[in-house]
Amino acid sequence: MSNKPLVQFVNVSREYVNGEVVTPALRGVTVSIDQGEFVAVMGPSGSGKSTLMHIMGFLDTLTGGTYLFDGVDVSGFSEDHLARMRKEKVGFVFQAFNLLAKSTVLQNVLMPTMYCQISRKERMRKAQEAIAGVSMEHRAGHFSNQLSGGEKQRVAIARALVNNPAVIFADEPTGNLDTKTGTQILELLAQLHDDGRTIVMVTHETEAAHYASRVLRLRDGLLESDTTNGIRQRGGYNK
Amino acid sequence: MYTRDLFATATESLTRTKSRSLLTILGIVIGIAAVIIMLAIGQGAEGLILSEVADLGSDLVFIEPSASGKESGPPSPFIEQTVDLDDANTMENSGLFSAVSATLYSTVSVSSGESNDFVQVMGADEDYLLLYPADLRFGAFLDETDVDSYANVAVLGIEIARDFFGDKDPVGEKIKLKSKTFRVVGVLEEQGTRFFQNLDKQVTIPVTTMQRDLLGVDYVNYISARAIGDIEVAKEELRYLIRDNHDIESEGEEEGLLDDFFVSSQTDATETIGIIGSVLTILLSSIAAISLVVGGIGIMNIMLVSVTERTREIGLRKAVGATPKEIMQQFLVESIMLTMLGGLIGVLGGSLFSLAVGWVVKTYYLSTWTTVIPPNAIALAAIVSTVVGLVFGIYPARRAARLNPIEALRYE
Repeated sequence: MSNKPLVQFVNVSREYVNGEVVTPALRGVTVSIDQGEFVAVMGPSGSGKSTLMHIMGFLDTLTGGTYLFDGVDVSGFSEDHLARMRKEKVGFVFQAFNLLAKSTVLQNVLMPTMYCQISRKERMRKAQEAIAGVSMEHRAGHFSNQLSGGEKQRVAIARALVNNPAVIFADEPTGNLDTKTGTQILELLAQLHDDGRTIVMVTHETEAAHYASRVLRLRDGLLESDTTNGIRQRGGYNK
Repeated sequence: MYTRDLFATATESLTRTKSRSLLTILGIVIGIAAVIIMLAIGQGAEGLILSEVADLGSDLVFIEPSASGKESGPPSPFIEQTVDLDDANTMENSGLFSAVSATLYSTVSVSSGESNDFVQVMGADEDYLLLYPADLRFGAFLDETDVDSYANVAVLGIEIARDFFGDKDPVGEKIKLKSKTFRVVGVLEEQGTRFFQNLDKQVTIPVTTMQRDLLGVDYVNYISARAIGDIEVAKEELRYLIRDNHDIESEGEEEGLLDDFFVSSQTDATETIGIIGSVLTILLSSIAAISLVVGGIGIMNIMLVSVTERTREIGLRKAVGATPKEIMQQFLVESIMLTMLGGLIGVLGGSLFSLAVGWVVKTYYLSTWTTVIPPNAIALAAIVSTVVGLVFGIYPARRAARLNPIEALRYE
């Protein structure tokens, strides 16, 4: 595993202003995530873990501090520039899957590639590769609303992988799944980690956090703890 | 994003809500179809009138009564009748015209034996056919003696002749106009309509007889004449002749203001028809514009609903890297595709409807009718429907483009 820092937060803060009321979501977080890490972000609701992930994933902007991505300061990037970063550098997996209901598995996975200027043939190859990566080839022609929850999340992971991102952000990926399928999804993420992918997963389930190599705990917009999970074994890591 | 993908994605999302898409474009379909139908029928009518005018020749001059020397519209009982046979005689003797014919109209009861009807009776003279050529099926037309001697003779239109006498030759038969008896001397061949009047249901009698015995008047409705030389010169000369006849003295700036008659020509009629045509076009365009605005608002409404419904999809597309511009393009292409489809269906539907109406009119009413689907109207419809889609699609598309991706993804 290389130790090149990919995501670097230096004293990052984020305040939401609603009229006169200023709500601080992050209050000076300094953290660095290396390439190839599998990081679980935990904390009670309102602790700022979603905000942290949104800023890291270029969906939101910071109001204070510095964000270096792959050594480049992205703090002042424009909306279009952030969109390009999302397209090229990151992939998202959501709790609610967010698949296009009346489209097929293949169409869903192809969707992000439409915003890249690459040939149709190349896009098809990438999509099929991503679908194979989550073992969903047999369902490629099915409509997404014909799939089970676990299958839907696999397709969502394939969609996140299709543009070969540097980081995958997963927001409560097992939140809508039963324990068994949830475990399967976590195994899949662990396997992607084994293949060298960088993964940042927001979760409130301790069992899920066991699959990560490192756990960040947030409370009231501050980093409360930063621990490493020890040696990888079947079903997760040793504490 | 490639343009091809833009259209593919738009087609996909529009076909996902097929019936809604079709209902949405109904306003545009009706608007465009209405434009095509109105233009096709308007041009058909204009073409018909212009061809009738052309058939009569461009050297025809008319003189009719008028209160102010200006055109006063169709013959009316409210206008002082100032044109009479004396004027016609003056015109005949002037050497300006090759043929002059005074005409008087009225609708009276006509009967023969058991049959009776109300028909238009025209008082005319022997020169009438020189101005308005028509063939005779039976007998002869009025001659000079008939007119000079106040003869009780009549020439029938073919439909009247059939109604009263069947297919046999009715020359020598008697008919009654009001209570006066007239002898049939001729039957005209089928003529159809002229300026929307059915000439085949008309009875022609000497204008003198009509004045004295039928109506008890001394005027005529108008006089037609065929000019020999330059038509504008003939018109000007004619004005002086008639002023002289009517003891009207006017010179210099006042010239024409005191005239109690109006001189016009076929050329003027053509111009008038052209003006009516333009006014109609403006009127129809306004109606079309209103219906297209209404249709456009419908499109905007549905696109706004669509943006709201697809908030999460928009959030997702933004999360995978779509720029605001790309989101905007996607929704604009959807609204333009909707209106263009509406325009296409409207053009097809409107054209078919116009052809059907044209066929009915041609078959049952006016055999000279031709339906023209104006090609410039089709081009206009295509442009207008695209513009409507663009204009009314911008607001919803901008709304979609401006959505915050985080909030959009959380939208329930």
